[in-house]
Amino acid sequence: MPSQKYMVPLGLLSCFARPFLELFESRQSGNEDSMQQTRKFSLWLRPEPSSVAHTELVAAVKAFSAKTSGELL
Amino acid sequence: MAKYFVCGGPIFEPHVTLLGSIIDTPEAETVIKKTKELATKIKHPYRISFKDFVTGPHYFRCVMAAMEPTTEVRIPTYYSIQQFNSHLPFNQVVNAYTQARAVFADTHGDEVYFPHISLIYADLSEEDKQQYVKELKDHYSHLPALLSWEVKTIHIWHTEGDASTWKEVAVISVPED
Repeated sequence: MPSQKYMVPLGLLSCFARPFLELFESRQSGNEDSMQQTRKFSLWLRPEPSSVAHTELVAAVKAFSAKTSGELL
Repeated sequence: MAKYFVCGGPIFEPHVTLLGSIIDTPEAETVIKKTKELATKIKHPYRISFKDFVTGPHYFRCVMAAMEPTTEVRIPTYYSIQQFNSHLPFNQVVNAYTQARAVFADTHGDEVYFPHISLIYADLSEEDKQQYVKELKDHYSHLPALLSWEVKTIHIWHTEGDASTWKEVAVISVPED
């Protein structure tokens, strides 16, 4: 049981946390809006897997991903 | 097949979207049939190439390699295309887009077309986007020139829901002349 003098009133904690929660909710909402833009079907153009364009694209993205702390699957 | 996964964004296959708003054709078989019709209207393979890295305004156009011109091309509505398409000096890429909209009777899709390859799907600040573009320009300035290929196929993808779950439905060949 923590000492009473170290306990933070819940209302005060909520007051401090609210701006961060609103920011988080706002970002989540924006992402959901974006996701709703996905369509059932799309027509794509893609380089052949054996083409130079595809090879260079994948190689560069792999390197770029590593630099940006991502990974290529 | 390699997939992107950068900046905590979703996994997705590298591609240029020819038409991304097919919502009135719910059956895959119908989409395949119409895409075959589209392929005959395009008639022959055409080449696409890329000019520069740019940022975009939303999740699906975050950081991209863009074709030239590297700004959006305003396209007349479906009805105007029917009337004036043969008289307008559209390049082959934009022509393919207008044909696609016509075949799918897309009257509510974008009236601007911005052919590009997305490198990142994410909601990032403009500052973060610019930082990624700078990284690309500093270290991969050669890439856009290498991203050129002759379009011989149209790929139909089921793109509902999260990008990591999207699946290829069919590949339609563009007939040779």
